Order: sequence, then C-alpha cells, then structure tokens
Amino acid sequence: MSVRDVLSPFTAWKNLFRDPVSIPDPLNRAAAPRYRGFHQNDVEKCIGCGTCETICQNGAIDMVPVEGIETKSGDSGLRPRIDYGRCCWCALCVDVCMTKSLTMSNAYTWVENDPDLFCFTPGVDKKHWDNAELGYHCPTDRRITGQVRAHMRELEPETRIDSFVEIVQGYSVEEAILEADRCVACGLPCATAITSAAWNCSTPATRFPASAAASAPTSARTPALPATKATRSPSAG
Amino acid sequence: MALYTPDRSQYPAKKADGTLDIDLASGKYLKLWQGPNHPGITGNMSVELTVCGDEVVEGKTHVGYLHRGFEKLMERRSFIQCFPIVCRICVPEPDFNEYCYAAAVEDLSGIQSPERANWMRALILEMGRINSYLMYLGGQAGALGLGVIGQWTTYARDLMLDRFEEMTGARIYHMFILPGGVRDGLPDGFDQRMEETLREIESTMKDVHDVMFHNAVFKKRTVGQGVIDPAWLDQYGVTGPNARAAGVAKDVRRDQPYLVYRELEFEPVIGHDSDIYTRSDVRRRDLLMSVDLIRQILAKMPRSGPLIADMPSMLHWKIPRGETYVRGECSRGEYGYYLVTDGSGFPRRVNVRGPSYTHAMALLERMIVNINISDVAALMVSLHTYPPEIER
Amino acid sequence: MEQELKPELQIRKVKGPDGVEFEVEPLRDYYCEALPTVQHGAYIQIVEDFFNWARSHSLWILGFGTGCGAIEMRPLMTPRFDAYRYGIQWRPTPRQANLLVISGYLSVKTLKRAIRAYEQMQSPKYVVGLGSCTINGGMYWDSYNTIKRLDDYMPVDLYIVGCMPRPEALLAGFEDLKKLIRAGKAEGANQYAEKFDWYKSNQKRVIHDWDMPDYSW
Repeated sequence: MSVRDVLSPFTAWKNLFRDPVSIPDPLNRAAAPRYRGFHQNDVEKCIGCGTCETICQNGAIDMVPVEGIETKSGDSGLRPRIDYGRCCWCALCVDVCMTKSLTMSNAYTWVENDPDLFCFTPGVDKKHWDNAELGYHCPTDRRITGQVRAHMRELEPETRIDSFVEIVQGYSVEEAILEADRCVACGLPCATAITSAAWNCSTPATRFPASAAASAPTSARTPALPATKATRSPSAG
Repeated sequence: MALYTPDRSQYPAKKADGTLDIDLASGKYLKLWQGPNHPGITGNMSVELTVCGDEVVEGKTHVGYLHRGFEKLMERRSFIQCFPIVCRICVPEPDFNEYCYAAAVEDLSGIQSPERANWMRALILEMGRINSYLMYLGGQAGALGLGVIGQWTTYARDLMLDRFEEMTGARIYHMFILPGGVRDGLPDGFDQRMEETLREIESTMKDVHDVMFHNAVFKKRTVGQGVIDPAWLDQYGVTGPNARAAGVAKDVRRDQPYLVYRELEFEPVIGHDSDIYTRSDVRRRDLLMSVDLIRQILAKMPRSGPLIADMPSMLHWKIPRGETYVRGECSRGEYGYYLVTDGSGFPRRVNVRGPSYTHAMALLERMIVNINISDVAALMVSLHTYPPEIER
Repeated sequence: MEQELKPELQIRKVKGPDGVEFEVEPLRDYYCEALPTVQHGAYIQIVEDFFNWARSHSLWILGFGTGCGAIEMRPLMTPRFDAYRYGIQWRPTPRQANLLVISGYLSVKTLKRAIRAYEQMQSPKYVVGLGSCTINGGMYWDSYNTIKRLDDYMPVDLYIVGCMPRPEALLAGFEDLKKLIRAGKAEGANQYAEKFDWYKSNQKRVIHDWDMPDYSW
C-alpha cells in the first residue's frame, strides 16, 4: 500500500470533462445492416415447400393456408406462420429457404400485452418492417442443403451415333443417394429436387451400407421434433 | 493479511464422518441465504451460509435455478438444430459453446472447416473473451462497492457488442459458428472500427488499472484473501485464470493449440499469489493479451476464400458412430464438449464440461469457510462463474 | 430426533404490554395470513390520473435476473443506454420495487422465487415478460424444467419479443408500459387478487415442493 493507492482512484474525476457516451435517442436506433430481426416473406416467391417448418428446432413455424393463394402445381398454397413466442432468431429458416423468399429485416421492437398476438404470417399480415431493405438475407454462395447437382453421365457422341444403347447412363447407387440428399422432400415438383428420388431413397440403409450416412429421411412429412424411435435411427434396426 | 480472527474456539467441531457438527438450536449459528435474488451473487444462484458472528463456517452452493436440460434437449434435435441451442448454455460468453459443438461435430463427421473460417472463429472467440472479462471486472469491483468500474466496463463491452452485431447479426447469442465454418465474412470497414474499439477498451483498462488496481480499499480487501492453494488445482479441477493466478500455466490455447493459435504469438499470463487481487490482475492482463491477439488475427487472417466447407444437406445429415472430446480455453477455464454419435441424425449424448461447475460448486464451498460475510460476494465473483453454465 | 431446546427457543407464554397473554413459538415463521385484495382507484378520476402519471414516472425494477435476458439489463443500467433518464431504476429488494421483469425462461425452481418476490412487492405492481420464452416457451418449449407461458402463473402487463430483446427494445417496452399505466390499464395486481385461486392452482401444479405460505407478504 502506498500513497499512490490512495490518490490514484481520484483520477476517475477526469471523466467529468469527457463528453457523455449515452446514446441520445435509443428508441429510434437502427440495428446493424446484418441484424437478424423480424421476418419478411415474399409471398409471391414463396412456394410453401415447408422446409423452414422442418428445420425449425423450436416448432415456431407452421404452414397455414392463406386467403388468396391457390394450391396449384408447384405451390402448396401454404405460407409459413411464425410464432414469436417460440422463435430464437437463429435464421436457419432463412438459410434453408428454397426460393430465398424468407428473409429477415433489421427491425427489432415489438411490444404487445397479449401473448397470442405474436403469431403472424410474414408477408400476409402487414407489418411496419415489411419493406425494410436491410437485415439478414441468405447469402448467395451458401446453403445448408446440398447444392451441387450430381452430373449424369451420357454416352460420347462418337459412340452413340451408330448404336441403340441408352444415351443417358443414369446414376450409380452412391450418386443417386447423393442426388437424393439434395431433396428437401417438400412434395412439390420444384426446380431444386426431384421428389420421387427422395421416396425411392427411403429403402433401408442396410441395402447400401457404404452410404448409410448419407441416406435420405424415411418420410417427407415426418416432423423433425420430437423424434420418434423410428425416425431417430432408421439404420439401427 | 487475514481479516478474520484466528480464534477458532467457538467453531464447530467435526463429526466422525468429517461433517461439521453445527447445532443450530444452540443459537450460536445462523443460517443465511445469499441469493438467488441478491445483489451480491454472480447471477441466479444461491449460497446457503452458516455463520457464526460475521464469519462463515459452512457454505453450500444451491443451483438449479437456471436448469433447462440442454443435454437432454440436444438428444432430440438433429445436428443442425442443436447449433442454435448450444450458445444458450453460457449467456455472457456464448461463442465457446458454438465453437466446441461445431468442432466436435466436424471431428466426428470428418469435415474440415476452411482456413478463413478458422481465423474468423479465433477472432470471435477472442472478442467474446474480452466481453467476458470486461463483465467480470465490473462485477469484481461492484462486489466491493466500486460501482464506477462496472459503468466503464459495461460501456466498453457494449462497444464490443456493436462489433459483434455488425459482424454476426446479433448482440448476445451470435449463432455464427456453424458446423463446417462460419456464416459470413467481415463487413466493410470492420478493421478500422475494431481498432477504434480496441483503443477505447485499452484506455478504459488504463483507467480501471488506476482506479481499481491501485486502490487502497480494493487492495485491503483482496490481497491475501480467498487463496487457492496450488495443491487444490488438480483435486478440484481448477483451470483457466484461477489456475494461472496460482502460478500454474494451464492454457489450452498453448497446451493443445486449436484453430489458429499455433500461428499467433502469446504467452499465458501467470500470477503467483493466487488471491482475489492476483486473479483480477491475471484477468486484466489476459484481456490486454486478447486485445493484442485480435490485432494479430486481423493482420494475419486471409480476406478471401471459402467460409464454410462443402457440407452434405443438413436436413438429413447423419454422422457415423463415434465419440470425441473437444476442448477450448474460455475466459473461465477449460471448456469441453463430449459428443457421442450413433450413426443417426441426432447426437446420442452431449456432455458439456463447463469450468463454472467445478469452480462454483466444490471449490467455492471449500473456500467460503472462514471468510467474512461481506467478502462472500467478492470471493464468488473472483472465481468467475456463470450460473447458466453451472447447471445448463 | 427430538432434542432439548434452549429455554429461549422453547414455546412459551408471553404477557404483552396490554396484559394479554399469548403463546410465542420462536422457531416458527410468522407471516400475515390475509390474502391479497383488490385495490380500488381514487374516487375522483383526476386524482387517479395524477397517481397513474406519478406511477408511470417511477418504474423501479427488481434487480432479479431470472434468465438470460438479465444480461441486457446491464447496458440499460449503465451510461450507454442510461434508463435512469426515463425514470427507471433498479432496486435490490422487492419491497422497494414495483416492476418485476421476468427476463426470459423461468425454471420451476426460479418460478417459486419469482412468485415470492412478486407477492412481496408493494401494490401497484407490474410484470413485464421479456423474450420469447415468457410468451410461448421459446427455445425451451420442450424442456422438462421450464414453464411455458408466464401468463398462467402471474399477471403479465406487457411482453417484449426477442431472443433476447435488445436494450432499445426494452426501453420501448418500458415506454409502452408507462402509457398503459397512465391509461389505468396496468391492473395486474388487481387481476392477481381477483383470480388468486386460479393462479395458485396453476402455480401449485408445477411447483411440487410447495413449502411456503399461500401468499407471502
């Protein structure tokens, strides 16, 4: 203990001459451009595939029918309804969105006195952040579902010009499983996947033990949570 | 400099089985609950104190106020679905959970995260470490009545949270370190803003050094108080700054380098007296070392390249059978994830080894004996434990 | 095991200053057994409005961090966001506070303490639920140890959504709470008194080791 120990704390007084660090108007402060705030959905682009519903670990997303959107080929007519009493803003739904219609704005303030009001269908229920430009969007170069399409081999033109052998040679088992792995099993014929491939791929993994790790889910609409014994370990039995 | 009376004549005798013979009805002892709703507690936990006069003769840690059953919850979430939930395990420093979980999953699935992602991860972990230490310093000073330190460090921490926000898109739970890589690169102009923040933090730390570490009151109440005997380190599983303050250079970053720590220049910060003052000082110097590490990382990290490895579709991602233990050095000690997989799409078992558990339960109960009631808060804070991580 | 108590701890008869003899049990917790009652407003509306205006300008928050959200309270208390300029401050004890902020999930063990803290607060008192967890379970919707809807256990005046809400959102929430108080709509304490049995039965359904009085003042 020295004289310095007694006097040194008084240097705190120098802050009297400093500018205040308080944010003058915290109520209107914009979040960072990448901020993962409240959801937006482009209902025109959305096809209602339900992948966001599948990946949400909190069961916050339900696909609900929406007035004015018809069920037609390539569109289930359902749109995601998000329960903010469950959401954790992890943005997996944005990352996984097949059409990139689901995004996040950087709005973050929503206060209600009724807990049931926090369920909303983005894009359908009008909210003040619907047209916000900034926020989290799925980056173009990355998705958490498989992206690269397995190349299908064909006969060389020189060979096929004078033969009746099938030109398209099809996939090997491993390639077919890899290709089916891209499928999100939405049940809609869409550009990103061939639904039937996923169904065919539900053959027991024991048939293809080498690629058991990459086999597709057993059922398209099995909810991911809570997992039943059957869906948890299809390869165990 | 012991502040308690060495007279132990009125102290409880020990029974044959080693427990204390405390007769509450004798009127000599008093039960005191410190927590969970108490300003002198590190969070939502409590300590049941038995006091004799103003001196603690026995302390029992009570936790479970924040138990959410993470390890069970993760067993029924697929590997990608576990990723948002792990960071909730430790609120003030969530990134280590994300990193350890991602590293464990990568280890078992044989995925290599790209070079650039590793640098990004190291950057995030060091930023998180600074946040955690800043919070600690505020708490340590606050427990001894120096409220102003908390005001400064929380401001500095808030600047760091702003950097986190612009980089990861969230303030507290960043959910940025995906299995396989990271979500995004650095935003434009990040380096410059980071440098300004680091300068601000350094100037704050200079003030903290003057006001907190050269403070007669703080010294009087912390020097020689709450000593961890170096012999206890292995017995109680003490790691991190608590061990380094006792003179043992335990630092996973150096002992078993992960990410890019092999390429960075640093020396573990060591103290020798192992009391509250030394532990605070070790953390302060460790914080300044993290500032230096961040500068090194920003200077050396590659600015282009992939941020995430080629991953299988995470919707039906299955990981072969196996088990692994991944460790990292967080601001409180060794953080570890033990992951067992059974070839399905869900983890079979996830066990989190958080340093707070060992420090706050066994060690605190041992150390809390014979100290003054008013020093309990300072002692608890000096072990640097986070209740959400104790009970998960 | 029965043991002989010291004389000063034994049950004994005491003669009060007014001459009445009563029995004292030194080891028993004494508490008021009266249940909460509905507090009516002032007879004149303008007086009640004045009271409400005054109440809205002194939100004293109980410094009890029940969950993750408590971490965003620290920036609020400190110069950067400085909630004190909005008439909001933190108090260490429930007796001095009138706003209980349930900061996120509540495990069953904390719920018990939160109820005690809430009941010990002076009327008029308000509850703000912070984060998704208080609304519908949030992150821990399938956890065995947390409650899912705070609404069932104590009257909540306001919810702030987010996981966790930013300090700015919290401030916006407190500003909204002030508006509710000024409009006389924040009647949580009265609601608790009116539906006391309902709240108690909900609370006792999840708290199995109920070893405290039904209403702890």
